[in-house]
Amino acid sequence: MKNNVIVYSEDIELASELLTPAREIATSTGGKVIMIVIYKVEMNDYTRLVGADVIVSVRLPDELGVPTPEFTSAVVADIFKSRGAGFVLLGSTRDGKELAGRLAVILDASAATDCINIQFKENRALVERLVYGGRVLSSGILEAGPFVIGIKPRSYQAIASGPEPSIEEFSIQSPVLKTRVLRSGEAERGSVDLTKADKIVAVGRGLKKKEDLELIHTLAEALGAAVGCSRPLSSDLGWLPEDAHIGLTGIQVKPKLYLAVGISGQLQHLAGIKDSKVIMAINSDKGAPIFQNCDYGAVGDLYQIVPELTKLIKAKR
Amino acid sequence: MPLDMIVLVKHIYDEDQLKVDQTTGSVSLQGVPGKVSSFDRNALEAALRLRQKLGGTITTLTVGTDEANKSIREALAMGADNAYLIRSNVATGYDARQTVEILIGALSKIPRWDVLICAEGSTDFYTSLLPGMLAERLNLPLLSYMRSLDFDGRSLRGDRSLERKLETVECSLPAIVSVVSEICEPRIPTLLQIMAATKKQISKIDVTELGLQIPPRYKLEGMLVKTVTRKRQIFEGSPSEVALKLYESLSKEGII
Repeated sequence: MKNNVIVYSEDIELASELLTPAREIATSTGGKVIMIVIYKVEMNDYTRLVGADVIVSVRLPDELGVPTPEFTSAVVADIFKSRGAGFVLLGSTRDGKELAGRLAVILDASAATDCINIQFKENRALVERLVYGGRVLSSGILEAGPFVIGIKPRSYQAIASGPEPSIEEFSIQSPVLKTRVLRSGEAERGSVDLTKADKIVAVGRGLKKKEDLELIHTLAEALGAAVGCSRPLSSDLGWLPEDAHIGLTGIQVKPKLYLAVGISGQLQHLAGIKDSKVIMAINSDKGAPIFQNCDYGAVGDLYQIVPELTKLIKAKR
Repeated sequence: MPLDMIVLVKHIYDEDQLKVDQTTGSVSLQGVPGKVSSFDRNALEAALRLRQKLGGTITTLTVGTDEANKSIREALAMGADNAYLIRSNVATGYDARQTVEILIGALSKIPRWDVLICAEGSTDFYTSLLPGMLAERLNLPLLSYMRSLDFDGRSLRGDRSLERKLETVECSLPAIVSVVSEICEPRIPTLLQIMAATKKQISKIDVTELGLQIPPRYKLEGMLVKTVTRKRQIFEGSPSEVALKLYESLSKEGII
């Protein structure tokens, strides 16, 4: 049986998390964990990649500015075939999901994305993933290998320490690509990573104009919280950067406090906040779904409640 | 240059009406009403805007049971010209690879097309596997996660929205495109358009006519509702009263 496990994610932090399930699978198959790193000029920090037996480093051809999923799928497939692998674990990012679809066809593999748990038993892969807007936990079986499995960020803890992997260089002929990247830039970003925030104040369509964000920022500052939003505020109105968008199609957060201000709480938004420890809401509509899904809620005008609450918090400090 | 476009439309179980067994938490789909996968409306809207600008046609393509007619009618009311239903009696649907093979079988029956547009994922199972699978199977370029899309007569181009990056990408035709919901707000059809759509023809192909033998690769075992019971303490009163209640709750939870 082909028992080696290939691991790849363009996101190095996620890549290190993937090594935890990869290690578990390799232990049960008696295979090796092979981590693929695609680098541009020189290999950067791979010491975080604890749990890999081998790192296969691939230099991005000069004519490519970024490793596109089309390019990466060719690289992963090549290494997969030449190394006797039976598994590919990928990060379930947007690039990672395109990659998973491509590899499922190229390797004629059974595939699943957005998995939060994977077990390998009796030559079958048992996976858990959230469906229906994050409301339902589904379990499924991939009956036959090879397996291509995308793991959702923060589903596993990275391995803290272990033996240093060996490093091998892999060279690839630049394939003819059908999609060209003309420009690649950082998406406009907020100053903090909301997925790591302890407290989040998030705002939605209840806010009437962009200038009123000041109210929210003042409250967040008093609480020591980061600021996020529901989809309309970032994607439609552009009042906050896209990485502040919390929900099914945005980021998923798990803070100790999630304070939703003027957010009605549509299913897609709730999918992004369900792992929060305490959910608090301020909304003028008593019938808003957020009140069915919060721990503490205040019914009323955010323009009056938010300043009052800010004042109380500041007075304590 | 006009574009002949195909838009994928999926009919799914309405996530707001799932039936949950109160003791076990297990989810049953039996008898749950269906609706269109909501991001598909954004994909269709993107196609409608391209057609408005460049001319051409829009054909929707759906794999599903006769129940899916409801979603197809909605797409026709929004403005699609033609619709195909690849009819099956598999109510639970197919896995991504099976769907891709069925779609490819159906595409061979559609005379010509330039661009196939779909949503980044469906709002039921949201695997997002389909665009990459289609591109590899058809050996066509893919522009994925697009939040804008334009065609200059030679190249299809637009912005690709990733978690931390924004890319401008282009390719030639024919091509596959997946869009994120931010690309545009879908229109709501008028009553007149809804009425007119009932007169449009839906072409039906039975899935068995495609003569495919594709075993499932992913088997759904079970679905459970994750219940996080929230305290649901709702405060009403004057702004200063409710603010104080929230403040006390924050304090009680040890947050401030």
